[in-house]
Amino acid sequence: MKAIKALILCALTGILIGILDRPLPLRTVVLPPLGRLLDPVNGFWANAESAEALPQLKNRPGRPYLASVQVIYDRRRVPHIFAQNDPDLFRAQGYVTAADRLWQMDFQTAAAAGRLSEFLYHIAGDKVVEFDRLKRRTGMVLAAQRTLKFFEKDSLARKIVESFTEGVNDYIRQLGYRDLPLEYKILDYRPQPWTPLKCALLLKYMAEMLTNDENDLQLTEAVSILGREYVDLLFPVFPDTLLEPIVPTGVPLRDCPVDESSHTQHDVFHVSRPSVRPTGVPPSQQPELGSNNWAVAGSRTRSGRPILCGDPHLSLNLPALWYEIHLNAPGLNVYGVSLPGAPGVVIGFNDHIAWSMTNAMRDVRDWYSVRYTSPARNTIWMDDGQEKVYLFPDTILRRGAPPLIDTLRLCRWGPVVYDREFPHPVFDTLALALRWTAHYPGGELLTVYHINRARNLQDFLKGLKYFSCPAQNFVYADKEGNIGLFQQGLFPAFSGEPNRLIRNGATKSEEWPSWLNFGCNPSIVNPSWGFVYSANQHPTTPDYPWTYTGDFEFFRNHRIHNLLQNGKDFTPENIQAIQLDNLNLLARWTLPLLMDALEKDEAQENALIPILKSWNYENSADSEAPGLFQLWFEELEKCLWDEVYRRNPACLPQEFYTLRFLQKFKDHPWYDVDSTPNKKESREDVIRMAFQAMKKRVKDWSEKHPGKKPLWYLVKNTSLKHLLPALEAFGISGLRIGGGRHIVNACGPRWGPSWRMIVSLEDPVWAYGIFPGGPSGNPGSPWYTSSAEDWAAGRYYKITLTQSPEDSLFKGLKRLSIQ
Amino acid sequence: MKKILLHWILLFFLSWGAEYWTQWWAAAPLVIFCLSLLHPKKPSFLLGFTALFCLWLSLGMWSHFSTGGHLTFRMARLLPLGGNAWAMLAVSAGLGGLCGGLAAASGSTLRRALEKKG
Repeated sequence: MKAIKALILCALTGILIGILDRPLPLRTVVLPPLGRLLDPVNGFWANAESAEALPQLKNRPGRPYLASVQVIYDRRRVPHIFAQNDPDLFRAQGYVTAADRLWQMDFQTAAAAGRLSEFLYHIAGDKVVEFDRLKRRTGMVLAAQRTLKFFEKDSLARKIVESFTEGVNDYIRQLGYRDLPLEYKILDYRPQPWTPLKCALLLKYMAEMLTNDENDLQLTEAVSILGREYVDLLFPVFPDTLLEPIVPTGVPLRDCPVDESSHTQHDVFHVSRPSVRPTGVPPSQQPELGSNNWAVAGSRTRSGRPILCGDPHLSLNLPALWYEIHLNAPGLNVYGVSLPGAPGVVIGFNDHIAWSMTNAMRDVRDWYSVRYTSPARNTIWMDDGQEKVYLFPDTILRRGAPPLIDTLRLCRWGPVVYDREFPHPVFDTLALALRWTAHYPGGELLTVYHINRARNLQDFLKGLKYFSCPAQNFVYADKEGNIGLFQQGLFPAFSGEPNRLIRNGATKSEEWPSWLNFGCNPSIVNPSWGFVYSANQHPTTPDYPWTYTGDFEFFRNHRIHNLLQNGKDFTPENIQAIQLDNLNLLARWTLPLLMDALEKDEAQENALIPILKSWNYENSADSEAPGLFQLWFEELEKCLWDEVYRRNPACLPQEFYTLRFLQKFKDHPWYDVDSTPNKKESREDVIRMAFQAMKKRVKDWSEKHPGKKPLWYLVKNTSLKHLLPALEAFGISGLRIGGGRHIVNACGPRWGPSWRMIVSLEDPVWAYGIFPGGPSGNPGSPWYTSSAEDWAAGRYYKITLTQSPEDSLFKGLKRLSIQ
Repeated sequence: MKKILLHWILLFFLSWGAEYWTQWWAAAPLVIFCLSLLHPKKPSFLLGFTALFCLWLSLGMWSHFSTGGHLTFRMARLLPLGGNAWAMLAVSAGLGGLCGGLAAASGSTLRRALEKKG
């Protein structure tokens, strides 16, 4: 009897341990392996860190490794790496970055490669498989492989990437379960070795983030709803007013040979991807990635030396998108932010120059509708004949389920992203192939390498020419006093009427022209007026010899231009006010028109009116009016473009063109609201309907937030969310910050100034900088969100570019080497 | 009484070592083994439970208080325990205790079963 009891107890112990040692699927959630996770010795408690804790730079105990490299974490815990040569430097960068951000690096590249199902399928199910399939069918991996081939052919690029990879892997190799980043413990998987391909995937991840907004599919859909006039009127290539391009008329192209405006014909290669935004999201809530940058010449600064400013507006996540770092080796002393997973500093400054980027916003993707000639789908119609489609079997591994076999199809235009096996939600009968500049190999890493070392404008331009996708506007300033702005990227040399819609993929005449010579890209150096700036606006006036389209900005650039033009005697301190400027130009130009439309009795009765009337158009965090205006405008867009909105909110025109439409047309058939068949609405009717809808939304909001006023920061709810939606508990929300869409301080609910930088090109060069988040990617570290509040409050950290590990700034700090 | 206290302390530190040098569940077979050697008179669920409960609780509290508790709070939001750090500590110590208790009961029962046969 005792024996049986003992056996039962032993078995129970075993079963309990077994249950607690693996993910536990319940009805609606999958619990992580609780025993392992909650164990205070090895589980999540082991990831909790105090503010004093530094990453452990241990590798193979007892063996000297990177002995010549010194790493110093400063008082904000930013790593400063001092190395004797390049390979050691990049190895150390890989190691140090992985020590803070390994999970993020691994996750982002797995997402780009369509490999999330490998460790998330048991939790996320078919949703994650669809995500993976889309990435794969878009050709992310093929694109990365092409870039990898480029790395391999170029000895410098290969050296950089291989050293970085070694460093990351040296870190991964020494990890026991206890040291694993928390996310691995929760999701119960382990990091796989880093590879050079992952560096390439990260670049494609960024390329996709910044160029997938080309709208061709949405516009094709919109045309089918409202006709060609809709696109012509509301999506013009150039606006009829307020065009303030990066390069004004009369500035000659830098180095554009008239006869050879284009270079090598691109080879026929293909792979691609689509951009369908979820329907039902209010238009103005949709992410607006963008950026500001500018440089002012010494003639406008107190020091007499240039000042350069930049703030890329990207997705606000935790771990933070950027990793701040200082790299020092012979011939190199650079400080700025890096992308975790890529060697070098992407935006920053060195002892001689400074640079930052904004997205070019130009459409570098085209969709081709192809027709298969047979059910086997291995040939398509092309002019009078047929053309081969290349088939690649593709295996998607799924955790806890058998692998899924898909077939990737590659045709003349690129990968066939959508067809009947993977239908587009709207164009479900079409087979759509994608051509995209990111499918071509790019030397972005070489650009970073050369710019990091640049001592003057010539060096800078030498590095710039490798950069192909995502096309960027590079702002530049140096200690010699030069300032400049250069649009750089790979662009087809389009001319004539630009293409906005799905192309006919059955004729070779739809082929892209050859590439535009880089010297013909818009640029401007040392203008007489003493400043250059970009904010995702049009790069040129219509007299630029080539055509392009894109989702360009009208408000931020206008405001920045005014502030720079009217300002002088700039200092790194007073120029902060421009980066933090909250003036809402859309509201200033629209609100009077909206108020006029309200009937007198309504305007007098409603409590919201005085708030709007007394508003100074500043989107300050603690004011109520910005939220009221925002909701009113959103509702107006919904009422006015109701036909389109119902089908796909992503088909709506930009706010600027909605404003132009309101200004131009008092009556127009499009004002008519479909849901009121017996009434024909005018502009005023639509505005009043939107006002009522806004009142209701404010009321709903107040009911949901009892006792709170609808202050702008509460309505907007700027959040830093963990990269993995399931780990929402690791994010922060409700940051007290103003600004918003089309405002210089472009801080939306989920995107915003992801690295505010101000560099003074004095001798020595110094800077201010801050990003939302913190250096550590570990949710158990106080450094995970250490700069979030300062960032929201508009504070900056002063940055000194040190020359050696013995600098007095490092006094009292530990000098570590990777042992 | 003194002996039991000694056993308790032994279990506490040996389990700690076992978990530190191997992994979390290593404490359980160790407790089974120890208890089958120690041979207390009664089935010793409580002995194992309290030893492991206290081990997990004290280490958890050490981690919590020495690091400012950010992570306890975040994990308590995730699991979801409403962001309550004490709940997080209790749940985690409870799980440890349960494993320790079951293992201890297994060990002592096993010993008595073996003795009876022998």
